[in-house]
Amino acid sequence: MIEQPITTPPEAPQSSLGAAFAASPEVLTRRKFRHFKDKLAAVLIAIGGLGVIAAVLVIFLYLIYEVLPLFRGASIQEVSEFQVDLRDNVDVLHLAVEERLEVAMRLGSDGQAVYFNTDDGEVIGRVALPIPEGQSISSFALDTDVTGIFALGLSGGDVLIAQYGYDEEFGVNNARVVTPAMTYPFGEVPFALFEDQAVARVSVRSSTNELMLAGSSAGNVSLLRAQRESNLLSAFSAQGEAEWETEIVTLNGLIPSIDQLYMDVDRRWLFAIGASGRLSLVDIRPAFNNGTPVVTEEVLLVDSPRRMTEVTFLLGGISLLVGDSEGTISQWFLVRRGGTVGIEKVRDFEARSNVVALTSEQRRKNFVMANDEGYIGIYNSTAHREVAYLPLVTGAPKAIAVAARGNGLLIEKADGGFAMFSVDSEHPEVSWQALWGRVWYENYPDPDLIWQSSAANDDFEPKYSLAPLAFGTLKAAFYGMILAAPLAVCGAIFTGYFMAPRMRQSVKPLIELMGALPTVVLGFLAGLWLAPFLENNLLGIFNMLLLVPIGILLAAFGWTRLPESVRFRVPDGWEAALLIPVILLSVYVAFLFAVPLEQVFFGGDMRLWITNDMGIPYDQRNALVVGLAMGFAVIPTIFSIAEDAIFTVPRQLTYGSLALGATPWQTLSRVVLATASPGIFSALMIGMGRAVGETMIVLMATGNTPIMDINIFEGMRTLAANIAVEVPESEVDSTHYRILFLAALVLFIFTFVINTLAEIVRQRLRRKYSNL
Amino acid sequence: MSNNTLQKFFASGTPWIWANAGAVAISLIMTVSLLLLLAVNGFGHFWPKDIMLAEYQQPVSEGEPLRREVVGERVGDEEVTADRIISSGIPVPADQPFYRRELVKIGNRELNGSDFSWLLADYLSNVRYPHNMTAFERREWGNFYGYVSEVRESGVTVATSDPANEQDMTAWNALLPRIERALELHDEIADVEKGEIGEVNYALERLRLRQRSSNCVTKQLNQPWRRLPKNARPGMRNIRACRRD
Repeated sequence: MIEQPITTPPEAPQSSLGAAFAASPEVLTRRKFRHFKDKLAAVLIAIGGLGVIAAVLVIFLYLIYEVLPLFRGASIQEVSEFQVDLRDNVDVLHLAVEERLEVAMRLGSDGQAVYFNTDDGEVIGRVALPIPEGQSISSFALDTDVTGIFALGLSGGDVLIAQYGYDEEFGVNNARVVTPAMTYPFGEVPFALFEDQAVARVSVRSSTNELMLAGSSAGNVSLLRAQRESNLLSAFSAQGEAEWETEIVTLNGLIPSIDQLYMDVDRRWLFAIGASGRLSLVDIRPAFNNGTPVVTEEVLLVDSPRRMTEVTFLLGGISLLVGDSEGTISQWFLVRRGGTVGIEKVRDFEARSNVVALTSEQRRKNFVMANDEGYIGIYNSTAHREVAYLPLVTGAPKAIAVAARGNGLLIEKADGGFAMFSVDSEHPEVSWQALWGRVWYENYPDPDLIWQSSAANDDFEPKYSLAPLAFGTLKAAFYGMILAAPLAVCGAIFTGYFMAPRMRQSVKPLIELMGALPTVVLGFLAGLWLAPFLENNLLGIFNMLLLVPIGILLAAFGWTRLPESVRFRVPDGWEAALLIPVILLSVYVAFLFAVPLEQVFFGGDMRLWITNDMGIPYDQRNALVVGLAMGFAVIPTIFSIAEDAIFTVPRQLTYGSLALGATPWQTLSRVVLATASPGIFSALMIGMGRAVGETMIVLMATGNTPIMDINIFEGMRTLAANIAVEVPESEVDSTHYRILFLAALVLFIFTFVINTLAEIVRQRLRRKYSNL
Repeated sequence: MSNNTLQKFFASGTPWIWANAGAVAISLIMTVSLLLLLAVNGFGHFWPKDIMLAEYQQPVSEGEPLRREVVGERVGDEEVTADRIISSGIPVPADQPFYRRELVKIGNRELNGSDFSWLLADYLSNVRYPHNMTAFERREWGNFYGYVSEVRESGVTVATSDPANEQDMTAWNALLPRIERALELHDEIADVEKGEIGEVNYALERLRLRQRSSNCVTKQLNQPWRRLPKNARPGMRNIRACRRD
């Protein structure tokens, strides 16, 4: 062997045929090429597979990237710290920051509004309010920071209404110059509320055409309503100022002790709070309608050891926030119970220590609290979320102010200095509770699961519950699968196992053709043709559901009773073709009898009967329509995969079973179905995934109402349809936008979980039946 | 049919095989009928329908029933119970349980106010499909149905037909070439609007933009704003100001 000639490759086989094989350069090239193709295919397939995984991962990560900021808390940073030359060291009545955070306003108890820069505290203007000679300020009330309207109760019984604001102009080099603007929308002359008695407490609410004032003095309560003159000629005086028609009603002894006085935004309810924290709810509407206001309810806002410290309204003027000495802030609002209206505590927020300042944001349902330890807390009421709780200053602040956009915070510290902070809290409205739990929204009688993402105004409380959407998704998928799964699987069983090959050749592509229809066509037909058709022929449809199976069974029985000479004329496997006329006839009969039956049993109109006699709400676009239309989308998917699984069951298994004496049906149910079960199962799961993610059909045929009701005659809104409806309208990177991405993530996880479960079960089944 | 036969029938498993066959049959019917539905509704637009002329007298709750002539294309019909018709305000005799009502496209929107009308088949009489009834598809106001009784060109009568005589096509034959000519003219107008006038408009717009940009100056912000907005980019040094005319 050592003497072997070197021309022969060492690995060359010994046989002459093998030697010729190896020696041929042609064969070598071909082998090399084959090897290369092998490698290439392996690489390409690997790239494809990894690419799919990478694509899915990228989608998943992108969704997470869009969603994550929702759950980030607020970050607060100090921008500047400064002193303001206030001249006299007077107490602060109100503190406010202008929208761009450049200028702030501080109203002092001497009736002077000081405007200053927020970077260095330089005073840019002082406005002295026109307080009549000899009077001083005895009380203060803010309408809202949004309008800037406030009321000053005076020691002589008068009330002065003013509106703070900012004028801006662009001067040299486009520099923005802000100047103070103090206006008097209801006139510079104060309204007289009491005669020679100081207004101890005051409350104000206004709209463009109406002003409502409530004041208390020594146990008396006076209400003042000023309305713009309705007469066009007298509506403006010679100076061009509006004329106001005023009316005063005094309520004596109705409420014993008053420490705080508030009014709701509709100027109907008066919240009179005593020193002990007892709130008397007064309906003041009768006062100006020749009636007597009555106390409708009395509630203790804080329990005995606690003292009420700060009270303010949340944005919108519906919710009252009450802070107490033990560090709890509770939210209260009016709730309609039956015919009456009462006040309820909705939720508590933990402020941890004596609340010394409380103010609410102007565009979101956020509020800011300061406690006596110098901690500042930012909370969102709807989400019941503490967005931030940080020690920003030392000692109890005197006043805090939030900028309109919620991105700035001005604090007047205990030592008289000021500090300006920038706040970054983009998405305070989101919490687990707000997304999935029952939330008690303003003006709702109970906590509820609501999706209502946007409205035309800022006062609106966004309702971001994903529960109705997830429910709608499952409901649509459920009703879709109820129709599609049995039809598709049974159809697959017959086509794959019993059907004559010649018929199978044309039937399979025909049913798969159904899957080629764009779902938008199905949705369009379902919404515009099927939904009204169903509404008019409801009983016909139900008749059909009953008669078609009966017709099929009758036809089967009839066929077995026919003489053999007829039966043998049709070979096995053509039963489906025989049934087509039977089914068409059953459908015809179902609709033929529907009209007289409807007349006899349902008073001529089943749809009305369902609503009026059964009390079941009926929407034209409902789950039944979606179920039928979704059937068209899902049947071909399930059918195709399940049929393949059944058809590929090894023939020797079925032949063996039949040879041992089993009937075809026994062979099918015991042998074929068991062997094909992994395939059928994955078919069902893929169909389910399709039904869950379906968009166009549900978008066009469900009515898109996000309600939670299993009723087949009502619509729903699915996660997918919701994204399609709302994404084009939502502001990029807003909370709403990100929540829609969250909905997409939820949908992604839905299908991911379903598919993974399906795969696991399929693998198990396959292992179990692989040895058959 | 003894009990035994039925038991044997079910025990053999035959009904289940047939049930499965039924599922296939239903799926097939669903597919085919969906395609047919799409085809019928879609292609239906390519087949002009005959135009119906009929008299219609619907019962009214008070006063003399109004007899009117209706012209239009039959679009669809449905069977409705008497109750529903009565509750919609038409006092039909309640002893007849069902009424057929037809949806007719009556066109002539400027005369009728709406394009479609539901008519109760029982009160339609003298239904005929005149050969000389004509439908015009107009650029505005939808379809128009009527007879061509006279063709005028610049105020001069060119041809007349007697609408009562279905075979009299004189006016129609005179109208056809004129419609052709009108269509040609319309195409020409559209061409001119798109082509020549469009070019002029484009040139005008370019001029306007050029004039506007000549009003603009780019100023350097030699003094920065007192505080840049939070989202201001660090490189924000220039501002472009335009004079509005």
